[in-house]
Parts: sequence; structure tokens; C-alpha cells
Amino acid sequence: MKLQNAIVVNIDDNNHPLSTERQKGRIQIRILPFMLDVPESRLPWYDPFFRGAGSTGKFGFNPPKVNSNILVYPTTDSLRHGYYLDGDYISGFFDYSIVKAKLDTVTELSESTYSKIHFQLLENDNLHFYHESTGESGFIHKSGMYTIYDETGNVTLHSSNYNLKLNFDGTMLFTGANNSKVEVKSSGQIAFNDHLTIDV
Amino acid sequence: MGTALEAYIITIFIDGKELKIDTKQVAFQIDTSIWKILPTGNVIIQDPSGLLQEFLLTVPGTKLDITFGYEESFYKVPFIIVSDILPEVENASTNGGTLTIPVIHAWAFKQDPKLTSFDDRISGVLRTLTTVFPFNKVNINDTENQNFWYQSLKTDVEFIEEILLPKAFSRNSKFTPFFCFIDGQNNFNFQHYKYLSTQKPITILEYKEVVGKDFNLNIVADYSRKRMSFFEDELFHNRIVYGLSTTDGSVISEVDSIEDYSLKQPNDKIPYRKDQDISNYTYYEKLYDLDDVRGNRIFNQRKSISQEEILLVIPYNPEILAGSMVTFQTGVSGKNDDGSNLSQFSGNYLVEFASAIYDGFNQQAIMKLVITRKFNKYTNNYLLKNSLVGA
Repeated sequence: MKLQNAIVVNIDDNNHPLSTERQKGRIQIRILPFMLDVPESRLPWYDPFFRGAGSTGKFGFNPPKVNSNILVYPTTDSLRHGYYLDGDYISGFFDYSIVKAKLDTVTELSESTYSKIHFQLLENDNLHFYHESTGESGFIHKSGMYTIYDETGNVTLHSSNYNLKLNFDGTMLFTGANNSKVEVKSSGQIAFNDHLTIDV
Repeated sequence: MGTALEAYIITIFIDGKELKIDTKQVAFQIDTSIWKILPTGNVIIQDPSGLLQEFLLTVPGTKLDITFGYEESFYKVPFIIVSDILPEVENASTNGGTLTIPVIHAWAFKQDPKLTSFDDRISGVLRTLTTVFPFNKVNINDTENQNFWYQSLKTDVEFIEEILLPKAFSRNSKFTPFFCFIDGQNNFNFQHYKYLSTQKPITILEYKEVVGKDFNLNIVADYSRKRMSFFEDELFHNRIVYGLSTTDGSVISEVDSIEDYSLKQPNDKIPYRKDQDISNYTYYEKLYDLDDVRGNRIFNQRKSISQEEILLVIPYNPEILAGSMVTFQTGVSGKNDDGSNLSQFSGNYLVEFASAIYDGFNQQAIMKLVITRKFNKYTNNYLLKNSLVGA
């Protein structure tokens, strides 16, 4: 047996022909080229290799998209059973410029040099990232809102309408609509729009 | 040793046309076996004029059909030519000589890799696969194994040998393994050992000295025998089988032995010293598709049926096919009080290999058979009987 290329056909195993094998986290696949002409109703259902169910009470389900290219590992020569390993690498789909464009919107990020940034671009267009040199890490929502942690643990939450910086030392600066501002200072004072200060 | 060759019908058709040739200028051998699907053979033809070669009658892929036997019983196999070889030019002016032509059953011509699938039992898949070739008869024992089957860029023969046959299972087989083979009468057979070994023997082959002109098709002029080696027997003797439960991942194990899967009768013994040690193992990973697992477990013990093999030579008898049962009698005949044969080597055997050999150059027609059996009953006088497997 060896790794094979396959296409995801169905991720809802409520369609499994055996009622006892439904809702078991399997996906239906078409192994290439061996199952090119096989009717969909006869295609096999493969088990997840990651996030399986190795013990009671511990299992997960995070299937790849339908019609995506994946790798599978058949475990029987009948090809009826095996594991799916998630996405296959297709070089045409890997485009760092998409990720760089998102990272460049994070003004707090010191730099976004390729190979220094570790990232996962999700199918819903959200991005998780981590900078291996500076220790910065964060999340960029597809709307443009982002969260970034610096190495000390200071965190910035930013969208087009507000900016919130929470510092490890307990200070905070919130900038909202129409440049409204709330600041918690190290002295414990809370300042509103630089005009009003309240001693706590 | 030979026989009145004029009594035989011998026809050879090349590309659908009968080869009009003196049968003294031709020899051939047709090899069939229960262990392989496609019969093979060899044809030797004198071509002194070189015309057979010149007119491309012997190029690979050409149909070559051989009929050899009597009017009421004969071997008839459609072959295709694998190659044609002229080992030595015997006539320089014509490039003539004696051609050697290896051949294989004509179904080989249809063996193309296919991408297709089936939703059927294994026996049903085989019935579909065999519809595309004009076999004389198709003899298929039913199986269980109802499932999806993927023929993934495999030829029909590869698909049968690699995927279907090793998994074939039937409760009707009494847990005996399956065999798939085409015999000398172009019959396609997919049968289990229970079916094969419980057939009525078609003839009695007797080893005895031929006196004068006493001729009988069933007299064995010569034979040799061998038993399975100790090392081969160890592979089948006391095997532990592991599998993983798909319900909770636990390891399930069972022990089976060389006595299993072969219709052992009371007092049957195997000529092999017994012990209780585990000598081999098989691991099935997750126990999906239990019919496939059962079938494969039995299939892996298949070779154990050949405990005792006898190679013998007899005059050509077209009624004896691979997969037939025969009774073999050595020079010592008769039975003991307990029903066992006086000679332990006499008894019923399954024909494993059958070679039909016609030699027109030396005017003889013979058969070489390898017959086999697994169990035997030994007379109570044999003091070592209780040390054998089966006691």
C-alpha cells in the first residue's frame, strides 16, 4: 500500500450505505486514477488520519472541502478502507502574496518576510500567523479585523472602527469612533478623550 | 512407452485455418494446473520450407487451437502464440528448421487493464468476467463476499488472482479454500476444495509392471513422490491470527492449524510430526469486511493440501483434467481390517497438474500428472501413527 491522490466527494457520512457506519467522521473519496469511472454510490468512505478516535471521549472532525485534492492511504488491497490525510499539495494553490497582503494591514507587525512567518490560511479566508524571530502572533479575520500579541504579551485588537491595546502591565488604550479615546494609565487613572481624568 | 497414435484425433488450427501437416512432424505439450488460471504450452513444428515463418503465420498473438484426443473425449484448448523461436537454421536456402512456439490460453489476448467496479458477490463478479470469452463450460461455486469490488487498472486475470481469489469465502465450502483454473477442455473453474476433493474419482491409476502387449490407459509406468518439507509445514501448523476490533481497537487473536480448512474426517492424519508450538502468525489490522478476512485466512492455508505429491506418467488419457480426482494404487493392493489401504501410498488424490504431451517425432502420447492429497488413514499396526498431526 502507498499514498494515493484522491478527490473529496462527500463529507456527510449520513449517506454511508451501512446505517451502523453513519456519523463516524468519515469522508467519501475517489482515488485517482483507479476510481475515475466508479459511480459515486460505490465510492469508499475513508477514516480520518488526524483527529481520529483513538480513545473514548477524545475525537474530532475537520474534513477537507468537497472537490478538494487530498492524499489517502488505503489499508486494504481492495481499496475499500483506508485513511485520508487532508489536503494534497498543489503548487498552483500556494500563493504567499495573498497572505502578505493581509499581514501588511497589521501595522503593529514588525515585518512579514516569507519563511519567517508561520501561517495557516483557512478556507473561510481567516489567517492565523506567528513570527519565528519576533515572537509576534495573531489572527486576521476576513473582514480585516485582527488581533496581535507581541512577545511580551501585550495584545492589540483592531478593526476599521476601533483599536484596543491591552498591555501586560495593566494599562489600556481604546480608540473608537470619531477619535473617541479611553485610557487606563499605570497610575490607575482613567482618561476620557484626553480631557476628563478620573482617579480610581 | 506409447500407444497407437493413429487412434488419436489431432488438429491444429492457426489463425482459424487447419494446419495440414504430417503429425510426425509436430510435437506439443499442454500444461494445466489448479494453481494457475491460464494453461500454457509449447508447440514444436518442423518448417523445412520456412513458409510458416515467411508468411507470418507464427507471429505473437496469432490464434493457435489444439484438439487432441478421441472422438468422445479430447483436450481442446484455444491458445495464442507467445513467441516463435528458430533455435537453429537447418536449411540455409529456405531459412527452414524446427520451430519452437510457446503458447498461452487465448484469454490472455483479452487481458487489458480496466477501470471498473462491481457491486456483487465474488462469484457474481466472476460470472460477469467470464461472459466475454467462449469457454466450453463455466463452473463457479457460489461465494459470499457481497461488496463493492474495484478493478483498478488490473486485467481480469490479475483482478481474480490478486483481489478476488484470496478473499473468496463460502460457508458451503466447509471453510475450504478456492481454486481458479482453466482445464484442458477449456472449462473455466472456480471451485472450492470441498467440491474438488469430494468428486468421485474418474479412474483408477495402477502402478504395475507392463507384461507383453498388455496395454491399459491407466497403467502407471513410473512414478516418484515427495512430501511437503518440514519448513513448509511449519508455515501452516499452529498459526496465530491477530486482528484489531473496529469497535474498541482491542487485539483479537485465534489459533488455527494445518488440520483446519480441509475437511478432516475422523482418523485422518497428516504425515508430519505434531507439536503444540505456534509456528507462524498472520495479522489482519482492522477487522473490516469479515467475509474477506475469513476467505483470506483460509486462502493462506491453501498450499497445505499438498502434503503428499506423486508425479506419475501414464499413456495420454484426455478424461483426466486438472482438478479431477483419481484413485492411485501402488503394486501392493488390498485393504486392512480397519479399512485402510495395505500400502499407505494408495488412495484418492486430486490432480494438481496435468500435462498432455504428444511427440510425433518419437511417436508417443503421454500424460504427466502431479496428484496430491492432504490426509490419509494409517493402519493400526503403524506404531508411530499417534505421533502424527491429526491424532
